[in-house]
Amino acid sequence: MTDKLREEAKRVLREGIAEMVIGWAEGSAEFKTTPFFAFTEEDCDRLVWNTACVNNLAKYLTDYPKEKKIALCVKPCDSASVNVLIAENKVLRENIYVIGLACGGVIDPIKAADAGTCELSDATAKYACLHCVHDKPEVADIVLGEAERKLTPAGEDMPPFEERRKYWEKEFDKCVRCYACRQVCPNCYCEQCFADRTDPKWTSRKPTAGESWMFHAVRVMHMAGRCVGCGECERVCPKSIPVEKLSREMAKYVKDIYDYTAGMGEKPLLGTYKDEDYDAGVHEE
Amino acid sequence: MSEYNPKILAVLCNWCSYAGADLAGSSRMHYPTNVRILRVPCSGRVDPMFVLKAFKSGFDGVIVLGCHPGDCHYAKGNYYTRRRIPLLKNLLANLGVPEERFHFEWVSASEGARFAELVTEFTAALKELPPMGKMI
Repeated sequence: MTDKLREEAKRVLREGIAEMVIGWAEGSAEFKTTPFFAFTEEDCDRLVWNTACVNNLAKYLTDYPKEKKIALCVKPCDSASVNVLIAENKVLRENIYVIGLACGGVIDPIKAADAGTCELSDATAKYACLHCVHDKPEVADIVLGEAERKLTPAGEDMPPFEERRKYWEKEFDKCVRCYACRQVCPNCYCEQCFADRTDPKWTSRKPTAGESWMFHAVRVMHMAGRCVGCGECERVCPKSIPVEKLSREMAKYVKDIYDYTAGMGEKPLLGTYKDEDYDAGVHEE
Repeated sequence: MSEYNPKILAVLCNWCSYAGADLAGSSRMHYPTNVRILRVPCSGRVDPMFVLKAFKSGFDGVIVLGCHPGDCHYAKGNYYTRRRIPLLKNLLANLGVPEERFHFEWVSASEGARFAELVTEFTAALKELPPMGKMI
């Protein structure tokens, strides 16, 4: 698979389809890969594809001007992120070349290091992969390889209603407000985040449970109908807060009432409406 | 100990619901004084952040009122709100905030009596619950 990927990357650069290829390369430690930017054919020999390729590389697209021709390696979830960016006019479809990779799930580097193996199993898989909803890359110019999903889907993980307020208070109390979850998210691209604004001051920078509650709640609202469930926010959290849990519940609800899956639509969910939408303002007498 | 009086934020759209509240006032209707009114140009202006910030700051309940679908002064503002509000309700439920604390309804300029009734009912429902408490 890695060979096929390298061949394709070389072809893309040789034929001038793109100026650079964004992919993964061997990382500094075992069980880890690092995002890698290949500009020449020699660089392409460093690209790899394995179960440790966890990073969602769609994050890098918004760092470059729209006009730049970029080739990007994506897993199915990353591909959904790319589609969200396309729907929101942040990238132009014709200027990106998407190399889709069939994926049956990736590992969590920490869990894999504990287990001492890169072999994909329920015990080593990234948590988001157990909730994965993406079978194939939504946007791709070419799809390499074949994969079968063998992971056991995880069930309901939200605590019962009565315990939720306490649960989140405890979790958000751990938050140090490093904003890693925001920085790693491919679809969090605002030039000025509400959390950084002092006027109006939506939330202060104090890392208290209440302020973090506000930050995370608003983040979920901003990601409503946009979060593709790649689980990067959860992976990078230094305090292991299950930050994606709320977004995951939100995605399920969006699917229920609007039959919409983030990254699968041509238009953003909240930028459109239908006359027959569910009406919460009508209460039966 | 004094009686518990819930603090309520009412976000009203300028063209229908605010006029409805105005009608309730000028018709001398009685409704609880627990409600603090925030006037917005359209219910489409109601950012979910308003509601979250209100709960964070210690409001016990939030009620959002707008023009009936089809009656929006800006033609389609309330349709966008209609899409957004159920998602906010879902988020609040997942955060452990009871759904009785957040109410969303359509109230037109002629429905002064309905506004008074809604606010009365909402206040009564909130009195059944313990105070929200400020999050720090």
